[in-house]
Amino acid sequence: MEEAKKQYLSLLSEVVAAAVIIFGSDMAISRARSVASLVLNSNGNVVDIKGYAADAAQELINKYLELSGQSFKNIVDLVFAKYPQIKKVY
Amino acid sequence: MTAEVLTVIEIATALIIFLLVVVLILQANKKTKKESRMREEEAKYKMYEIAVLNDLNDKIGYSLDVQGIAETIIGSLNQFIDYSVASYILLFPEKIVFKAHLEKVVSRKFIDTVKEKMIDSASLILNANLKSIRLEETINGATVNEKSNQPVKSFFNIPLEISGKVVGILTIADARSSFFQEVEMATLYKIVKQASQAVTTLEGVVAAENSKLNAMVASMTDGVIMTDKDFRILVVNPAAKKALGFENKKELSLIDFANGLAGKIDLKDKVEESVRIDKTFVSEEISLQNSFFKIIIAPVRDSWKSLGSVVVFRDITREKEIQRIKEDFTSMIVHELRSPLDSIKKMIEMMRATEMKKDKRAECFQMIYSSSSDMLELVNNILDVAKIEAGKFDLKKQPSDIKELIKGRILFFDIAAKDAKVNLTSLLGKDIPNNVEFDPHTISQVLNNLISNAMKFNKENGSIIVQALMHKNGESIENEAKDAGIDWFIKNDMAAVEDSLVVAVTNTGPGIAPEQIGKLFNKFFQVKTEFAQKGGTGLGLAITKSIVESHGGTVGAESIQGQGATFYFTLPINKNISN
Repeated sequence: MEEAKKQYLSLLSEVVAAAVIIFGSDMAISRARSVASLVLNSNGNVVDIKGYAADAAQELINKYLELSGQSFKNIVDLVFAKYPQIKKVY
Repeated sequence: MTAEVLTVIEIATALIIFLLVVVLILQANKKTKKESRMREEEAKYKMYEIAVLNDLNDKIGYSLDVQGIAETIIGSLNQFIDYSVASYILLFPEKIVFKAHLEKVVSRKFIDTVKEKMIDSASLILNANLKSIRLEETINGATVNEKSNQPVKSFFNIPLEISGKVVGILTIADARSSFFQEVEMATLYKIVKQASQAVTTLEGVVAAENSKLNAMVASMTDGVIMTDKDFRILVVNPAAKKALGFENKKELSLIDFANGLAGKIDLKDKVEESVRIDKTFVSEEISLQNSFFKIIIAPVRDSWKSLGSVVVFRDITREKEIQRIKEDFTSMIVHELRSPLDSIKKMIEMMRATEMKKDKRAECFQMIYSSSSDMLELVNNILDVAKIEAGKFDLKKQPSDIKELIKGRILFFDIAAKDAKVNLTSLLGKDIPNNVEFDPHTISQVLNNLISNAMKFNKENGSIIVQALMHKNGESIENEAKDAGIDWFIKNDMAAVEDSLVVAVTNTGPGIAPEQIGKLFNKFFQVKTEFAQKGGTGLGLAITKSIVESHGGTVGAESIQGQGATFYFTLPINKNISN
């Protein structure tokens, strides 16, 4: 698997994990599963991305931002800071 | 192909078509039913949303009650979804309020898990460790039963955001796995978002009003501290900080102020007592930072509900100073009246007790006359001041000749000047018109005050010179004096003064200290000066100032200590010259 995709999988898994803590597992997983291009395992980890990773990331983050704008944005900023090679998509 | 075979094929085809039509009709029916169910579901959620928002509006109305929003949503939740526990936390600086409504019997562990998940959510959002903060817990609804060992299997949190800041978390939990549907959760999010937006909007309005109120409180000269019902400081204005020397401190608590007032007033106790018994306290005079204050402590209530308290630091330093000056002034007036009265009494007693020669009696009458004249002058001065203060000082302006008036006053004071061994002269500019409009009676009073002061505070064999000249706006008065043949010694730059007649009375006395010059024309502060020590009330200059200002002019004084002093006044020509 190419390095960029690995990084995206790791980043998106962290985003979902943060969303699970903030919004609760039911809401966080439900929103993540509604992103058609993402494949999640039973633990809520993103295991595959069908199509463009950046588009999938943007769709997922926007779905969470709909729930709690600034609060979630601050968390995502911290997650993105760990992945300097990935451009912010929100 | 035989006709029979053809018939079978036709029948089979017809059957297939019929079956296809039936299947299509059934599918369409099924789809319609599904759509209908979806529409029903949608209507149900929409109805619930409207009902809850109406309920919120009725119960919370136009208030900033976030707790009320959470309570209302939880109170109506069972009409909408099935769940085990609905709970909320509200975040305050010193505590977290946790409330859980048990819709079903759950264990203590279930409640603790929900609580932990809510705290984790808030901690992550705020990037803070909230676990060490004191927690107030309330549980209602079904009972807690340890036999119910079902764990939390489904839950979702809704952050309560007001003005972009998370103030709490609302959480719905259940013991069944993956239990809540997206549409249910989304509906609750929508409701909370709308309610939060309404509160945010209202908070913006309140913040704008608060900002106006804070600006007003900040500009107040009295110190003001407002506390909430837990005695946390909500508002403290610069005057309150200044009263205790806390100008450079940003974060202040009531304890800081209580410590600053230690030994003078027990602020904390008084504030608490004031709120408890709903009573206003007013302290005795308290000395702080070289000023005097009265501290007023009052409870703040909204109907029967305590909202906190207000502490006002009323600066009474000026009031005390005025009171002291008034007392000094009264003492001085009493003293000035008693001296001539005492003289009159003694003269009369002497005249009654002894046979007197005619010339001795005349001398006594002269002394009685002089003393009673002094008293009359004093009483007249006091009456003039009273008239000035009441705004009843009327001027009778008429075309008048200042040169004649000055000459008349020189003549009037001639004998007194000779007695005082003072040389009294005048120097008058040649271009002074003889028809300047002023009230000759009151301007004569002004000249009397200035000349009598100049005599009183002169040295033996000294001199007094009364000078008058015309001044044009923008011109140097020194040059104007030189042109008029007048020896001018006022150093004040009078170029900005409008076209005026300027009159100055100069003596060769000991002069006046620079710090006292500014106080000379003030009827209260003047009593402290050297003039008061030499006798007299000092009211004359206050009256002089009022008379001149009533003519639109100004008064002033200059002095070189050890050489003498000049008192001058101006009468604007444009306002006062007669056609």
